[in-house]
Amino acid sequence: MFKGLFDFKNYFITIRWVVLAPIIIYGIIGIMALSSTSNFTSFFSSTFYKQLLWVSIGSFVFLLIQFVRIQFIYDYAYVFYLLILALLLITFNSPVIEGAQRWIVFGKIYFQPSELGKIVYIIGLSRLFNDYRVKDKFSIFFIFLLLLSIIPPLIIFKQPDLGTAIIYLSLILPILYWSNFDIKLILLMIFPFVSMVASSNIVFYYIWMIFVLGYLFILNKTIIFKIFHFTINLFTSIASPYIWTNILEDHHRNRITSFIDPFSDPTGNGYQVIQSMISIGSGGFWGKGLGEGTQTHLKFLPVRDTDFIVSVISEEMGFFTISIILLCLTWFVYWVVDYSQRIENNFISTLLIGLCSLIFMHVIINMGMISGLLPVTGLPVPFISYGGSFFLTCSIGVGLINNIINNHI
Amino acid sequence: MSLRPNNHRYRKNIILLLYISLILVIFFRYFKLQILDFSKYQEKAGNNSLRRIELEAPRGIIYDLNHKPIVDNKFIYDLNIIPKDFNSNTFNYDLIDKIANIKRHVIDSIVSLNSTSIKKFKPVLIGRNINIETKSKLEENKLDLKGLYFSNSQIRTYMMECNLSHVLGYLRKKEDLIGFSGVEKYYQNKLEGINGIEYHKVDRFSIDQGIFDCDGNILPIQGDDLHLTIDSDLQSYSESLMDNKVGSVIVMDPESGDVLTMLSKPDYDLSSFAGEIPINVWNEINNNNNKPFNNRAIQNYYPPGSIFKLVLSAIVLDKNLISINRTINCNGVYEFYDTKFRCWKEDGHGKTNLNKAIQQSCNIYFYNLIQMIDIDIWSSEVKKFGFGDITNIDLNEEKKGLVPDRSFMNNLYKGKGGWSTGHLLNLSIGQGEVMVTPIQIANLINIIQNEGYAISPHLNKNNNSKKNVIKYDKKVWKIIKQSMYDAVNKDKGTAYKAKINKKGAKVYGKTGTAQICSNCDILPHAWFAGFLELNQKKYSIVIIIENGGKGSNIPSIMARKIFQYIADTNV
Repeated sequence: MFKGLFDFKNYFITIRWVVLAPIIIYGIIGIMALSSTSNFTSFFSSTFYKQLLWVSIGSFVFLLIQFVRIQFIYDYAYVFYLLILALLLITFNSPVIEGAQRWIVFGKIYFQPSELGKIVYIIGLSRLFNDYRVKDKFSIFFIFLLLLSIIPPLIIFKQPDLGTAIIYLSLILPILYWSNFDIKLILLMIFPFVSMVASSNIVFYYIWMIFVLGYLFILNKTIIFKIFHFTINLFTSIASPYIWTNILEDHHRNRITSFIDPFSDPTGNGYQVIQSMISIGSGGFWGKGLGEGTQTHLKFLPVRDTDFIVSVISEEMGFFTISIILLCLTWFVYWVVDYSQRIENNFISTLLIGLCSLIFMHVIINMGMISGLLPVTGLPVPFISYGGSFFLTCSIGVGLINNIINNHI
Repeated sequence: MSLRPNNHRYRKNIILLLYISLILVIFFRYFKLQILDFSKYQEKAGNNSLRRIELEAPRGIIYDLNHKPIVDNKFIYDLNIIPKDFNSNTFNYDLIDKIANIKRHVIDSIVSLNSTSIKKFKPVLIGRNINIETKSKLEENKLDLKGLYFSNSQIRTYMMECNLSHVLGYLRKKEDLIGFSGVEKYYQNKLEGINGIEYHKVDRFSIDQGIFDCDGNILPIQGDDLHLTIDSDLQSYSESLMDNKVGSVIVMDPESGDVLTMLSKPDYDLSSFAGEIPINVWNEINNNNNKPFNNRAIQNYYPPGSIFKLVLSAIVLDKNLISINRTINCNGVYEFYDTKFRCWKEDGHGKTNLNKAIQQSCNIYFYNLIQMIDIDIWSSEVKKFGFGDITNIDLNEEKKGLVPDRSFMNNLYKGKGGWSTGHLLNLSIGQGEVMVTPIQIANLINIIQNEGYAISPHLNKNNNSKKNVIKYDKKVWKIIKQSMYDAVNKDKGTAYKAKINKKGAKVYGKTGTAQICSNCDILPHAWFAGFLELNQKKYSIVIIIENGGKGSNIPSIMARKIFQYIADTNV
């Protein structure tokens, strides 16, 4: 089956430094942060050394990816998609580890299908929405496609792994948009979620519903289409209290209430955000210096190697380094989107946007969460956070970007 | 692969606009946190991770006359619980009950009181004064006792055999240890040190991560030492003599005003106050009818009884109202108008001169003397001896006693038929309205011994005591001293039981038997006041035994024992 995945005839590897330079800077910043948070008692307890190992494995994977034939990926996109769906379903029979069923366990090897699944998901959606371009109208078929694309995030949400599920969902819109879907209709897809949140405040809710009515009114669509969409918005807003009490679980509710007011319970659910914000704020422009962060080293900061590593960087390396991180992200996004725009092939172009969004969404959502802009849920930062499988996923992603730029422009 | 037309050139701008604006949102968020609100969060981070720990300064050490340390400090361990780290499901209650004798309900109530938001991070006290063995046993079982936390503080430790409770006084914990009575209170400012400050890094579990090096760290400074005039050996000997009696003993060096011994019985064990006072001990002391907290030497009034005859003698001698040879016949009863005043000796002393009157304590002689002066002279002269006023000893809450004067008597007997010279007769023998404290009597003895002056009594060696001078004729003191000597050394002297056999030792004394009420069964208070001349050194002594019967008995015997002790050990 994997015959034709690799093409080793062309053994020259070109590295697009415009794309890779920000990634390398991320890696360096991550290693620096880990040199501060890691303990160095032994190799296996040192996240610093282990991360160095992952960096080398990731580099190798990156290089290997350069020989991948994109045509093969296209051909097998749906097969991969179904395969990963099957693996995700298998996780429901896997042992519970730390309260979640995210891993498939073979002896000592833990495999998290949702990690590699990110790449497969992007490939699958890119092909799906380009094979069946619905252009600018909602149809039953389109709704079927949408349902197909939200099955993986739903499974992941049930694992439970809210952070990853959110990442999956956040990838749908950019891919849909790049597949020539009408942005006006994309907005219509977002509206029901806004209605759901807006219903918590009656004044805001009325203003919002009037806005939805106005928006539907100016759309050049049939009256049935408009009534249908208004009904959906009404339905989600009415269902909102039911979802709040019956579908969301306690820890979801807590996360949302502590997001709205972290100080309502400063030692409980709001604790992490408050400590993280204190870490970030107390860093100042230049930071306290590596290894000098009181928040980090006196353990006020939770999961500092992975989810809150940017808080560590903020505290010890300051706003200066945060600016570098954001500058690198801007640079990366700009160039990848720019390359993507030059590609004639719709599938490959969309794939590039999807991969770019994967990196982008991780950074933005993570940095938003730890600074109190978004509710907190576990999410790592690409190439900075410690962690093997996520590092490899990102390496594959960036490897594909490099491959596509080399071979398809 | 699909190659259908697209408008990516246009869509690129939209998607970049969207993505870069999201990046800008994050950028400004971090800009606000790290640059605009930097100082706010910097302070918060400091509050988070730094704890200002007050270092209790040790109090000054208290030494006795012979430079023996009698009060020192020691570290004790206090047992605390941090409610946040405490888990009642895993906490081994039986173990802590077995080791430290702390009951489950005590811990649970303390924890539930302190488990609200911010309080739960702070250690709360559950037991004081844990000794080192208990501490190490608890530490061995740390894993079963999560949330347990030791802190150390200082308490007083008492290193002498005597109690000396009223002189030293006890301490109470009010943030710092504060002297609450005795010299600990009077010299609080001198004894207390200056607390130090130390900043500690603590992690999120409040676990100490060591000292944070900064300019704010200040070392504690120990309080000044205090050198007392108390001779702890004499003190403990005197205390052993008092045993279960109620009363007070004062031994002084009359020439310097040094208080060598001061005791008040009943007393209490200061070391039981060192840590937390057990409630039963506190109740026992507080409910005792004899009021152990009272320092009888300075706080209790007594009628001076026959001791006061010395004062009257000095007054009339100084005013030359009487010659020493003047005799008065005592037949046991003195009729004053329609009232009969009795001498304590029913068949009388016969012909009595001043010497014999003091020596044998004849009342009738002094009934005659008092009529030579009026109450104005009497009260103003008595006050010169320091009665009716505090002696300025370096202890708080000294009482003034009472010397009645004309206006006092007028007020007292207003509407009761007035007062007459008859009341003065009572005053002449130290009965009636006059009230004194034992330390005032000691002061009187010092004046007599020093022949006209006394240094105000004090417990601190380095003092600036006042000198109280009475400009009486020198011969006055000589006559009184001789009479006091005779009271001890002549066979019929009332104080003869105080006599000691020691070469070079001369004992002077006067007893007193102070009636509390007339015609009642309650035994009178027994006084002995006197002094010892031992070679060049002098020792004055005052003993009062409440309801001790005759002064010539118990207190005189005690005085002899103390004099003998002094003479033998030559303190």
